[in-house]
Amino acid sequence: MHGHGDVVTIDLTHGSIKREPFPVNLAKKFIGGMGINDWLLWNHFLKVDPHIDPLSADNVLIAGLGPLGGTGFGLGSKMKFTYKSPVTGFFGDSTCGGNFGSQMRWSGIDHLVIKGRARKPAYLYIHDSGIEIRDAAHLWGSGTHETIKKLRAGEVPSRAGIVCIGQAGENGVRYACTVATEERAAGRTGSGCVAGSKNLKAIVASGSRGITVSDPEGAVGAARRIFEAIDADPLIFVFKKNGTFNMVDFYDAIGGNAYRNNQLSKVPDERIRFLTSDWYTANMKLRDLACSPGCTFGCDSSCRIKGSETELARRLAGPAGGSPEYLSIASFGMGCDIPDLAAVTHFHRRCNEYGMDFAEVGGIIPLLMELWQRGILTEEHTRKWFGEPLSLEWGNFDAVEKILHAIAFQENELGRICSGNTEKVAEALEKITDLPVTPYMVCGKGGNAFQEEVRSFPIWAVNAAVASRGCDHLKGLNIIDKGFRQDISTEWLGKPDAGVGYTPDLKGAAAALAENYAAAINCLGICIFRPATDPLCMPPSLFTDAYSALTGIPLTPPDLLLAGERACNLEKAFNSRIGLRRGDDRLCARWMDEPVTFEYGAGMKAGEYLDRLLDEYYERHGWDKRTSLQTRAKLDALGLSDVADVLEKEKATA
Amino acid sequence: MKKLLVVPNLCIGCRECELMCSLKHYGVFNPALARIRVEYDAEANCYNPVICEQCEDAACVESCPAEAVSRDPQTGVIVIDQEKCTLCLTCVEECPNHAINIAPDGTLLKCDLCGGEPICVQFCSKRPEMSSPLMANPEGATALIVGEK
Repeated sequence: MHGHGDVVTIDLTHGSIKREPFPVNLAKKFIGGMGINDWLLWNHFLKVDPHIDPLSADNVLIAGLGPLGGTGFGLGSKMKFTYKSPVTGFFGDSTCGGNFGSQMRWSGIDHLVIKGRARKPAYLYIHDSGIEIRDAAHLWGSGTHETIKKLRAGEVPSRAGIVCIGQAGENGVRYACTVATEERAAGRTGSGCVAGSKNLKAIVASGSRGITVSDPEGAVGAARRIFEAIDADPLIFVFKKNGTFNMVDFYDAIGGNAYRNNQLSKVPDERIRFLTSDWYTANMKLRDLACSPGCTFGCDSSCRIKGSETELARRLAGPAGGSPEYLSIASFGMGCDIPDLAAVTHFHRRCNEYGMDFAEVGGIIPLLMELWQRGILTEEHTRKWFGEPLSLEWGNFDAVEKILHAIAFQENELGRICSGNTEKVAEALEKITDLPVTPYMVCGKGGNAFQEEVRSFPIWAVNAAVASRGCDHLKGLNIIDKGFRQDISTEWLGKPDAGVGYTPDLKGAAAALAENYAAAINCLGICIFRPATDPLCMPPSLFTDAYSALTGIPLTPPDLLLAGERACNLEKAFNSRIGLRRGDDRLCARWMDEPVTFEYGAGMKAGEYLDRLLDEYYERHGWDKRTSLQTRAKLDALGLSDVADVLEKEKATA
Repeated sequence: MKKLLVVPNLCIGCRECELMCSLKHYGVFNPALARIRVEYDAEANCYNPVICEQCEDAACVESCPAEAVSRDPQTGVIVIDQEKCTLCLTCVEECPNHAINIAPDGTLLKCDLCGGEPICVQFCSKRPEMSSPLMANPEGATALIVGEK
């Protein structure tokens, strides 16, 4: 069939490989990417007890790239890993750019389903019809950059796409990530930990089959319309130039940054100016880069720490490499209060080398620093952990360096404590210190960290409380309230209210719609950065036209949105089977009870609106607001009656 | 006569040129069938397009023992006559830019400038103004452009 590739199932325990054609009957129902990944996960856990330990060999690691990934439609190639998360114990997935997913698609494969556990360290090598399980003993123990270098030293083609884990994944750090060439991470919820538990060091793909196209002329036309839409976007050059760096300045103006473990939502002026895109461009940036094949936005960049930019840069000078992004700036620059982009770049690359999610550790280290500020952690603790006194005061570069190393290599008690998510760390430290720690943790559902102010932006607060993979903004990525987009609110809800800033009005309903919409884009295998956030600049017909020309399968915007909604419902159903209910849709005490002190949004706290917005959110999804559970009627309407049957049997429907 | 040119430092490595080239000529998205190639420089962490410059003193034309490579007198574009080509790969070796690619089936892939309006240029990412000191270009500039000889 045109436009889609095969589904390959690999059992690492038995060394078996099965290649099957894409389930064409499901193309319209789930499209691909996230939708098919979720379907594969759901099916896997019909045969396997969903309550298993995520580090069990029975867990599954699914890799999938949707049908518009690896093509020339200009919107990039975003591959998704899906599994049961070792960070939260419930649904987990994570997306990355890079060129691995495209090379997999050019080998004629859309999805990999990796089961079991290899007896010894192994890596997968995919070259068109050839799929091999190879020995990885020589790679085990290496960081991700070193692993890639070793593989490319003659073992695999230089143009091959590689995704691999570092020491964190090998050593069982729960939030270990996978890193794809070049320097792109599937960061959140522990894909690297699952891979490590399977003794899977890397997956390499080098494809020369390509992706066949049903209507090549139609595809050129569809690509041209996408390019015209990109050109017409009034913000496009700002996004192309600065990528997520834009958020530093913008959030500074609106109170969206989280300073010193989100004790404040404003970084002092004399510090923020060293974290901006202007400073970066003038001092460090080399060139714009696309993070994945087919991405004509190119909002990533390359940079070099020359050594003269800042005092810390002198110690960190080195060759050109990957750039920081908003999340690493928020974690280390703002969260740990190290307003030095050379240092942030260093930590960004260091986390990638260890294969460790800097979003999670970027929540943990600021927590440790706040505990130091409050006298809850003291020199007595750090001497015990590091064999010498180590100050955890704000801005201490060396403390961050040592903690990251201790976690990646699990080399002391602190490293082991910090191998779980923010909430687990807080609970463990509470036991050790016998003092209150959990009031200071900054996290949402599942105990996962997030380094942005959410209290003044209620859609984001709802996102952080409900996301199927635990606290996160990407499951329902939108700019409606944080970007004050009354036009999108009016288009989606008939009223501008959700786009009116610093109020809770209609924010629950908008959060539900944004989830369905982002899921639809994620089913296509493209970047969600602009396509999901601005449905007015980039209407869904652009993507459905491209899909239809590619595959020959007619697809309308309502079809696409339904596929996204089905994917959301599969993830919800997976979590319901595990036992998640309304009480699990929650936020930390800081966000619930402590008011914002910034000029805009002053006094707002999630505790005052979250319950009401959750009601609205569940209702908009068609779920039961008392339990949060799905109803049979809703699942039947989505064509997911088989899912309803399973849930009913397990008393997990409303 | 027209020729393809590369503006230094503007390539973002999206490989859109490879993808659209293979779509236009073969109806598939497959960089392995592209007549243009983007190479990654790991040391500099940047990308460089490798293009056919339709050279005046073309090594590919001069070196071909089968006289399969010749210049179209009307367009100035150098083309390979696949019927005459013996796949000896002399042109591949002699090209100073290494711009002639070998397809998975062993045949040769050489840029024909798409009849004067190369699709790679049409879909090359438009870059912002002054994105970095190395990218001191006006808004909308692209890495691939069509120039006149």
